[in-house]
Amino acid sequence: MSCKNIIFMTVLFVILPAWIGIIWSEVLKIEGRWQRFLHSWVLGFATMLSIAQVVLVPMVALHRALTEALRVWQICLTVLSLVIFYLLLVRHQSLFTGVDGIKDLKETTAAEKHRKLFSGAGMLAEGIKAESAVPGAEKSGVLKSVFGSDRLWIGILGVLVAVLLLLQAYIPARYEHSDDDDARFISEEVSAVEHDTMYWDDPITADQLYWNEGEVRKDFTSPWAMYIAMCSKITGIAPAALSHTYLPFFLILLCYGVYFLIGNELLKGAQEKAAPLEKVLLFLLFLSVLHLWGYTSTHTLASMLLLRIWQGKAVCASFLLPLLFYLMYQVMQRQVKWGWVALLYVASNAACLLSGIGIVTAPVLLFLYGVVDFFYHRNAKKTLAVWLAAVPCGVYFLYYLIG
Amino acid sequence: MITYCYGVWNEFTNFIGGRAGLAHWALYLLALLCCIFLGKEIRKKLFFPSVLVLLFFFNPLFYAAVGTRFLSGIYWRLLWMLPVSFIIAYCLTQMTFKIKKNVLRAAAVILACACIIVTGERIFTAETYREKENEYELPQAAIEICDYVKENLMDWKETIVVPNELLCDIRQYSSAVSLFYGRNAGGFITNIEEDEAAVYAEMSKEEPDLEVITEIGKRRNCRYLVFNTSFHQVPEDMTAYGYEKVYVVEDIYAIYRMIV
Repeated sequence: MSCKNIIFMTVLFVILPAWIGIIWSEVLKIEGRWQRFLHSWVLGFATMLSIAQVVLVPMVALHRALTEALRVWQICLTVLSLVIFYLLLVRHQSLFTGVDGIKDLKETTAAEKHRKLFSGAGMLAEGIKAESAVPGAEKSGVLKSVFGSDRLWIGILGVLVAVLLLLQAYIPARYEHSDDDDARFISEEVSAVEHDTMYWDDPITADQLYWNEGEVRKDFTSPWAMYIAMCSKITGIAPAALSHTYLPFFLILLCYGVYFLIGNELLKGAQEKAAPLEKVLLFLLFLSVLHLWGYTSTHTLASMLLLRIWQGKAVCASFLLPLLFYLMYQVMQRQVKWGWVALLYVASNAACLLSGIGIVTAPVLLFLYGVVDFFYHRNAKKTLAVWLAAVPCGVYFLYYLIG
Repeated sequence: MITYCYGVWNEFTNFIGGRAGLAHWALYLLALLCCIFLGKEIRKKLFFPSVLVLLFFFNPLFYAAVGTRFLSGIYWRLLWMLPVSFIIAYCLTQMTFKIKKNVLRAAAVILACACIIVTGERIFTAETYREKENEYELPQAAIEICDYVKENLMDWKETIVVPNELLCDIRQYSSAVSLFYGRNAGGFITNIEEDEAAVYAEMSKEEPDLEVITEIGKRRNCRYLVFNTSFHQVPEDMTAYGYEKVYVVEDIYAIYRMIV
């Protein structure tokens, strides 16, 4: 692993998605520094995938070059990034002029300020530290014996979870696991990068193909390989090295970002904005152990996540479907912000990019969760909006069948 | 109908890995049952969607209509729609936090982890991961063979025949090297033609019939033949067959080039 490549990958798989995702954090008014970062990161990555899908499928069908698709994708991302920059400037202009900011600060009490600054599960450690500074805050944790203190409990859990997560991200990057499916996906990426084409040749014999022939017919509506080829082109890292050495580290951490949000959503109380950090950490600890000892077959989520996360179907199983669970948990609330519903459209479109199984599972999930939501809230408008999010998948499925 | 029921069951056991996965699935079903008693919100978010997915998956009519037509051999992937590990982790977390004393809580966490570990299968083993030979995480031999072919290209690409263990790796490194046949030789996705099947059959033998391989190789313009000399018994000199030895990789892989 070279430093230059790690920097490139950090920009492409952390900073850029987190920047793109700010638009969602702003629309959904996510509070708390870590909550905002995690939402921006995972939702931004899904948005990047979704944009790539909209760009790639027609360009593959039109037999365009990889660099052309890359340019269009880059233009879309640049425009979006500039729009976000502008929105942030407008929204937070008080920070620069200082007038509204000071007014706000005067109006908020010390306790409110504390909550504003440290709301969200991610900063509980900082929150506890600041808790003692807030008048009237509970001080029982400090008076407890060392082994009984909540702070120690969070500290131990935090270290354990951090070690387990980094271990899961590091081992696939550090050691070698070979999977026969790479013979198709990575070959397609290599050919795309070297010849500046998209699905023009057979991944085995290199015989020229049209996009609806042979093996590549399966990948035309799910061009994840071309997404990786674009990343390879940008970073200059060879597709095999990118997929096997660099992607696992970033994608596994990204997946755990989604799992953190799921844990937070499931474990928080009805009136709470975020679940207690110790609960979310314990949730992640159990999840890590389940994944580390979940190799009962090569098909389980654990196997997909920790053995071949660089493949589209594994990203679909480990990242996109859990993200859809999370989005549906938000949408299934009585008072729903429509931004979450809009994200269903983005996510279902992104699912199509990853794999054919994404084209099948995303609509089924949307349908089933939509049914459950309807029976709970009887909101036909919302249910219809949820079901309509499956339309992109339906279109790609039909295209695959008759194309 | 019985056939479809049997088919669904086969997909399920295929997914969980037979008996190896039973314990974690029992844990999941137990956790799912617990969700009934964990409040309206959890029933809405975890219990009912999971039950619906299970009903969908185990429905033989759905399997007959969709599974056998569009998801043949991959029907088990629908089980990814079940948040199995999330439900187990959620229930364990909630149960653990019912314990007020931190020491007892820590003991419960250790016990729960021990249960998962004992009943599960470790994913990071010598069987799944090994020391990598290079950043590409491909066999070094595949890279060296490709490098040699690329350096001596006589066309925009060269077609080669490689030993079976390198079939999946060669084209992950370079697209200048095309394979006479690849993973499809084992009947994967696309079928191969008669010539490819004949060469593959010979390359799978310890003592391949060089007459067959070289005759087809010359006819189909396979400029390079690569043999694994620790497995294949081939003569040093193959000029009589129209190929000459040009390079050896890692003292094992002998590269023969067609004599023009």
